[in-house]
Amino acid sequence: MKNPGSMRRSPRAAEWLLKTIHSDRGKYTHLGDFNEIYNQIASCRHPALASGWYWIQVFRSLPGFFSNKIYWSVTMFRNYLLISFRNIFKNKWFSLINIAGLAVGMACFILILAFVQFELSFDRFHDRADRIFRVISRDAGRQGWASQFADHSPEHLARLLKEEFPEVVRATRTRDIWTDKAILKYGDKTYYQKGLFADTEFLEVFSYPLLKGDKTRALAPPNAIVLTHAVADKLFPGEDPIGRTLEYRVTNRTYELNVTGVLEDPPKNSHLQFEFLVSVATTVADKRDAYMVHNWYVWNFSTYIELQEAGDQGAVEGKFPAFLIRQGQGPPENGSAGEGRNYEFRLQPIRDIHLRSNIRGELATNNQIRYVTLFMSIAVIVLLIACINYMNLVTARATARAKEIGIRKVAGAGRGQLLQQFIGETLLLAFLALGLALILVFSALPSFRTLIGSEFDLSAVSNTPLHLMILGTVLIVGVASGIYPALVLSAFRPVNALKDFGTSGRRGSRLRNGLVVLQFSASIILIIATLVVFRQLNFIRNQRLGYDRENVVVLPVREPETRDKAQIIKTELLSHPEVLGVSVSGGLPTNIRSRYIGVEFQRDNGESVKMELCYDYVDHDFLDVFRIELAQGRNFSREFGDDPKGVLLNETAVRQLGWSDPVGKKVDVGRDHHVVGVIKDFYFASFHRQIEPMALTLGTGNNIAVRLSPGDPAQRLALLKRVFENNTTSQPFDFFFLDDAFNRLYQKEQRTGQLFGYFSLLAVFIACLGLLGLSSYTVDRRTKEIGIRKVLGASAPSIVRILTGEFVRLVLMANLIAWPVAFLAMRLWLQDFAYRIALGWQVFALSAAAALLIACVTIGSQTLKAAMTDPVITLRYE
Amino acid sequence: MRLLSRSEELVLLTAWKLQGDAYTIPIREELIRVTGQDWSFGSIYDPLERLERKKLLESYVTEPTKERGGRSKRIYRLTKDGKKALLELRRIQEALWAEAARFDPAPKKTA
Repeated sequence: MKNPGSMRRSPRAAEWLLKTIHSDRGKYTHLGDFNEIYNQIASCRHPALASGWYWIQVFRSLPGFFSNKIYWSVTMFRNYLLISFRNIFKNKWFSLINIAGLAVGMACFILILAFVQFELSFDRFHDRADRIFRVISRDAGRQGWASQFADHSPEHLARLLKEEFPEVVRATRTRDIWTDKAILKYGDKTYYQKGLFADTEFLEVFSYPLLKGDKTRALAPPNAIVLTHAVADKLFPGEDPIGRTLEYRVTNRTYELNVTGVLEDPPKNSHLQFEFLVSVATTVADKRDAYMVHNWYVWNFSTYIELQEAGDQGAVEGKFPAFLIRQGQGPPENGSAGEGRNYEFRLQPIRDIHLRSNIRGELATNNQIRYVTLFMSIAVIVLLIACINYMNLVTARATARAKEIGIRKVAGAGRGQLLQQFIGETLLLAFLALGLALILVFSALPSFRTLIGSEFDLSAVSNTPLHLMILGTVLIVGVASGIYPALVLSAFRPVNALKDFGTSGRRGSRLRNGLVVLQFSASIILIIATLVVFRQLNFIRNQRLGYDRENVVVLPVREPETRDKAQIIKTELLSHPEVLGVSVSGGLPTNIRSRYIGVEFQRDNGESVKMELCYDYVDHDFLDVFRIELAQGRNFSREFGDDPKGVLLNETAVRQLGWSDPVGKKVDVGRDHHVVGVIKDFYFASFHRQIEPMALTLGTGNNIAVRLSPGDPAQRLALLKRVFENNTTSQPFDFFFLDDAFNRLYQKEQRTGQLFGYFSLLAVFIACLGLLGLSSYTVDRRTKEIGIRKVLGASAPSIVRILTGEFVRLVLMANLIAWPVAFLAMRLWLQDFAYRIALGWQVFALSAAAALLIACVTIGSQTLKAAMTDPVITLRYE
Repeated sequence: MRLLSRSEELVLLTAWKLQGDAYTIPIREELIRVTGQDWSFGSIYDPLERLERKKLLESYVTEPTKERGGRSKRIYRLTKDGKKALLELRRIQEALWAEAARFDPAPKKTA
C-alpha cells in the first residue's frame, strides 16, 4: 500500500478548489488525508478512479462550505453593521457632511436621469416604433430657408408610396389646422383646442389607443372627428359622445362634425400632441380645399409610413429619385418638375424626431440631443464631486480608525475582508444618502419640471429601467467612492496602527489635494458656464433689437367676425389715451417668417438675380407701433394712392441686392410693386440666425398689436377686454405680451442658464462641504503644531494665513485647470449664436474670485477657531 | 457533564483503540470496518473537532510525509477527561441495558 516510489499528487484543480473552500482550521492536515486516500486508491486500483474519488469528495464538501460561509457572513455582517452605525453616530458632524453631500449629488443625478429617460422615451411607445418613419422633403432648387428639409409633402404622397413601394405596409397623412387652436362648440360650451387632420391609417400606424369607436372606420368618412378623453369629458360630461354633432371653427371655416371615436390622451412623450383628430376626408370633400388634393405644388401634409422592416429605410430612400421621375417630378436635368424644382425625399425614424430632428416646420417643440447630453454631463460632474468628497473625508479620517483596523488585522482579518467591510460601509452610507436623496427628489420634482420646461411625466417612462439605474448608481457610487478609502485603510500595518503612528502619509495627502483640485475645477467650470450663459442672455435681452417690444399686447384674431371687426376695434382702441397705437398685421417683429417668396430682381448693373425674401403683410401703423426706424424713403402712407403696390425692404435686402438707390425700384411680389422705403434692420427671428432679407407690403393679418402707455397692466388689459368684447361675440378674449413671445425664442437658453446656475450652486455647495470637513480635520491634526507656534510667538493672523494658504493654493491650481476647459466649452456653446458676446477675462477672474472667497469663508471658521485657541489647552493634552 | 453524541462516542472510542496512530484515515477505516457503513470525512472531522474543543481529545501535528503530498498528519490522543467520559457512557448504557433486558431480552448482538 505504501509504495514510496509511486507517490502521486492529487489532481491540481480539485486540490486547489478544496483548499479554497476549506475553512482555515486543519486545512493542510485535511488535504493530507485526502491525498493519502487518493494514493491508496491510485496504487491499489487505478489513478483515474482515484481522481474520480477525489472530485466526488470535493463536490460533496460544497454544500457544507456554502452554509458555513453564509453563517459567518451573517455574523460578520452584523458586526460590520454595528461598527458602521457606531461610527456614524460617533462622528455625527462628519457623517452628516458625508451623507448630505452624497444625497445632494444623488438627488441631482436622479432628477436628471429621470428627465433624460423621459426625453429618450419619445415616440417609443408605438408598437412598431422602429419601423415608423416620417417622410421629410426639401426643394434643393430653391435657396436659403426654403431649401431646408421640412416635414411637408403633398396630399397624395402617402397613397403613392403605399402603391409603389412593396416595403411600405401602411402610410398615413396628417395636416395641421392652419392655426394653433380651433374652436369646438357643443351646445353652450365653447373651447379652443389643438388638433390635427388625420386619415384612417393614422390610428393603425400609431398606437394611440381608441377608447370608443371603430379603429378602422373612425377617421374614414368626411366630417368625422375623434376626440381625446379629456376633451370629450369637457364637451360631453356624463354623456356618450359617439354620434353627436359638434361645431368646429377655424378662422373662416365652419364644419358640423360627427364624433366617431374617443382616444386616450396622447402620452406626453409623443411628438404629435393633439386634442382631437379630424378626418382628412373632410378636407378632400371640401371644394374650397380641392386645390390641395392630389397636387404636386401644394405641400401642406405630413406623411408617415410604416415599413415591412426597419432595415428597408435605405432601400426605400434609394428608390425615391426614380419614383419622382416616374411621377413627373424629377430634377431639372430630367426636365419634368419644371421651374427649377429639385425635390429630395428622406425618411426620418420616428424615434429620432424628438431629439435629433433639425428640420423646419416641426409640429411640436423638439429638444436636442445636445442639451440632453449636456444635462447628463452636469449630473455626472455633480455626482463626481460628491464621491470625491466622500473619499477625501474618509481617507482624511483614516487615523481615527487605525486602531480598529489594527485589532482586526491582529485578530486575523485579511485584506479582502477589510476591503469588504469598508466598501460595505460606504454602500450603507450610500443607501442612507439615497433615502435622503429620494426625499429631495420628490420635493424638488415640481420645481424641476418648471425649471426644465418639460411636461416631463414619470408615468410615461417605464419605471423599471429607471429604478434599476438608480440602484446601479448607488452601487457604483458606493463602490467607486469606497474603493480608495478601503484600499488605504486596509493597507495599514497593524504594528504602526496600534502604536498610533501617523498613518495617512505624504502620498495620501497629495492625492487628497489632487482630488480637491479636481472638485474645485469642476465647480469653477460650472460657475464660468453659468456666468457666460447669463451674460449672453443678458446681451440678447439688452441688444438693440431694432424694435421696441415693451408695452405691446397682441390680440390674436381667430374668428372671421374678429377679422371683419379688426378696424372697428382699432378705431375704438385709439380713442383711449392709454392706447398709443394699434397695428393689424400678419407677422410680428418676433417672428416674420410666415411666407417666403422667390423674387426676381434687376441689379444696378442690369444683371437679373433671384432671391428668397421673408415676406409679410403689415398696415400703415406697423412701423409706429413697433417703433421700427426708416433708413431711406418713407413709410406707407394713406396720402399716396398707389401704396397698395408699395413695398418696404430691410437694409439687409438692399445690401444683398447691391442697390445704391433703392427707392422706386421695382420688386415683383405678386403684383407690380415698387420700393417706397427702406427700414433699418431689426431682429425678426432669434439671435441664432443672421438677419435675412425681408419685404413688407400693405395688407391685413391675424394679429392686432396694441402699444400701451406704461402703467398698471391690469387696468389696461381690462380696457382691451372691454373694447374687444364690445365688438365681437364669437371669440373669447385672448392676448399675449410681445415681450413674452420674445422670451420664448430664448427659452431653451434661459433654461440652460438657470439649470447651470442651480447645479453649479449645488456643486459648489458639495465641494464646500468637503472642504469644511477636510479643513476641520487638518486643524484637528495640527492642533499641537499650532500650539507650539503660538508659544513661540506666532500671531493669530499668521496662523490663519498658514492654514488658509494650503487650501488657497489648491483652489488657485483648480482655476488653472478649469479655465482652458471652460474656455473651449463655452466658445463651442456661443458658436450657436449668430450674435454673441466675447469671452472676456472678467468672467474667469470673477469665477476665480468667487471660488476663492467661498473657499476662504468655508474654512475661515475652522482656522479662526484654531488660531484663537489658547495654546495651554492644545498642548496640555499630551 | 453533557453526554456525547453517538458519532462522537464512536470516534472517541476508535481513537482510544488506535492508540498512537489515531488520525483521520485509520479512524475512518476502522469505523467503516466495524460498522459496515460508509463514513464520510466530514463525519469524522466534525466529531474530532468538537471533541477537541471539549478537551476530550488533544492533538499534535507530525512532520510532512511524501505520501500525503507533502502534508502533515494530525494525531489525536485521549485526555483524562476523554477516557472518563467514555467510561461514564458505558456505565450508563450498561445500567440501562441491565434494566431493559429484564423485561424483554434483547436479540443476540453482533459485534
